[in-house]
Amino acid sequence: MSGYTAHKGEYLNQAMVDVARIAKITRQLYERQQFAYLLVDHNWSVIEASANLENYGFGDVRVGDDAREAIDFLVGLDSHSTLDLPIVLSPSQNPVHIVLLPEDESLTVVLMDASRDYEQQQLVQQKANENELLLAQQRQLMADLEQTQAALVTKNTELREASRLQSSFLSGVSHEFRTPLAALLGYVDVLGERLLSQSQEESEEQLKVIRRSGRHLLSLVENLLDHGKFDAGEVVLNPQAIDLQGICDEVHAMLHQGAASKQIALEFDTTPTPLPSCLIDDSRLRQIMLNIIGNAIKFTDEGKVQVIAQCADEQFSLRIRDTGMGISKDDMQNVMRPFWQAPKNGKVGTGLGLTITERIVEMMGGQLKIDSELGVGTTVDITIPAPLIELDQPDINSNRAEHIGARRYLLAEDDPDIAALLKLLLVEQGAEVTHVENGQQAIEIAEREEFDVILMDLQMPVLDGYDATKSLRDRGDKTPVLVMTASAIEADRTRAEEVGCDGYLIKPVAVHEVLSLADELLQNQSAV
Amino acid sequence: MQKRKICMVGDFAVGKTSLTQRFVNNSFSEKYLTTIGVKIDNVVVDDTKLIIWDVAGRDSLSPINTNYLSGAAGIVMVADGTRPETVESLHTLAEMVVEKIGQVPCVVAINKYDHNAFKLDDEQQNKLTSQGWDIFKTSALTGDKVPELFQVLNNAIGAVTSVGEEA
Repeated sequence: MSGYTAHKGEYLNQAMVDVARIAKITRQLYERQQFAYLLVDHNWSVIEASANLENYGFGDVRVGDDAREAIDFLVGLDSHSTLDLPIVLSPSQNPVHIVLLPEDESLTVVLMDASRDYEQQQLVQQKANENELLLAQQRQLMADLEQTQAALVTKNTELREASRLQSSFLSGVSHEFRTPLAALLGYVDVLGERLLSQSQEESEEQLKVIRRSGRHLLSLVENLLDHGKFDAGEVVLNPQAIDLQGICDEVHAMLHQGAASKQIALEFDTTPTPLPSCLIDDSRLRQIMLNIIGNAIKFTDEGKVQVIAQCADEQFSLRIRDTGMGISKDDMQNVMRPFWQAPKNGKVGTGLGLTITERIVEMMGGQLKIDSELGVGTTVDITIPAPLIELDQPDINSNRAEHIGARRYLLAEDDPDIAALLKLLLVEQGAEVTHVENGQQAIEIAEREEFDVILMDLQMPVLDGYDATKSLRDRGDKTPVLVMTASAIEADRTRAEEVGCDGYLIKPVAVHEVLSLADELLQNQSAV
Repeated sequence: MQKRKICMVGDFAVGKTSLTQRFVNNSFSEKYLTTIGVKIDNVVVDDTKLIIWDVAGRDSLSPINTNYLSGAAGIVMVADGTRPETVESLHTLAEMVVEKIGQVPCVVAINKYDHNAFKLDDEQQNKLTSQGWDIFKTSALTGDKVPELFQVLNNAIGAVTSVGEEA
């Protein structure tokens, strides 16, 4: 028998004593080293718990209880697996290092104080994270800065382009104005010198040039003013019953001479013929046609310009087809931009006609499309809503037309040339005209004499047309006041209406417009 | 009462602690205090006690300790809508979660929706929703969409549990 076998029972007893002693020492170590422990079976039933467990905020743990009911962090964990949780903030906010140590029959959960690790990591991690956030902010700021710089570069480029367009525009405007002015003044000089020596036919031809040049100048001014008015939202449509065929004939008459002088054909084809009457702003329609057909003539040096006007289903459609130089694909993207002009095409202009035309068409609820091929020609298609309407037939038995000129007019106008011209034209129509130079004189003479209509300029020295009209109305004078002004601004018209003006005409005014509107005002007055 | 462990994961300073505190205590602090390790809170939702593990965010010094994810029934992945890189990192975070605990219900909070610099473009959003995740544009500051975030996750966990029980 070996010594071990002989003393087996003694050794076992000693071993059990040693184990118990080690367990006791371990428990003492737990307690002394601020360890806490929890011994559970694999169903989480508490076998034993150190007394200091409650120091970590895990109190009220009793033998036999389900440990997960009292200790939240055990929820979901596997009682058979080893697990190391370096830092857990316990309910008492103590940082705890938790280790799960499974054995065959049980699981020991060891909790150790981790305050020191927590504080050290907190210090380092906080600084590291704050630095990282600052770096991220810095990167973002740099990115924002680069974006702003890029935006500024783009803006700068746009400003340069705007400046270039402005210079080009001014140059174009200058040329556009000088050309008809040169023709107009030149022919006026010729007429002045040769009126008596040349034939009447020659004089009439020269007068046609003067009239055409004047109208061209007027359309330029209207386009320029319209551009500003569109930007200010001041353009107002004034639809009225018009004779479409009459408008087409008028436009043809105005432009055919220009086409003929370039030796190109200007063909008008209307369907049906005559075109019906409809409700549309006639001055805007005229402007659209003059701009687009005028452009077609301008950019066509050979061949023809064909205008097809149709009215069907309450839509007025215009197709203007030319055999001109056409537009390249690149330029097509720019043709609607204000002030833009195709480079190197040898033509100048304001670069506004097409822009304004498109805006007017859109305002009318219509559409404008351009199709073009470089070197072949351009086709512009325009459709505009045109509700059909019956025009009032003129009363042929009425002798009203013979008498509308025979009125007594008070003309308040500070420009002596305009006043003299208008007086001349009105007197030719049988009117009596008394001319004064400002609003004050108009009031004074209106107190002494009776007039059928007062023709009132707005901008005058001493007393302007607004104050003069207001003064007349305040004094009970109900004589119709017809404004004649160079201002096409809607706000001026509104103000004039507010002070009591009855009609509004924009210079230059044709005498038949004055007579017609004056008659209308008097008819309205007598009806009231 | 039934208990469920859910974990808040995401990069550092995305607002995991703020979302948790808004939901649990209805409070918010402007001061940034980085989380070390994990902070455990609980809140009762629909007779279920949610044990919320607010896990320290991933940062340049240390990855997320996936031991904290053990036993989680659901995950709230959080990103900062003012830092696009934190949205991108959600995908690698998701891979890490699946590798550790397998497929569990998951919702995504793109936090700081109240901030001017918040930006979540369509491409990012589509990439997230293509994973089958519910996306919430949350604000811990205002509390916007915070209750919904946890409610949807709890419902999803409940649905998965029911299916498991039926099986």
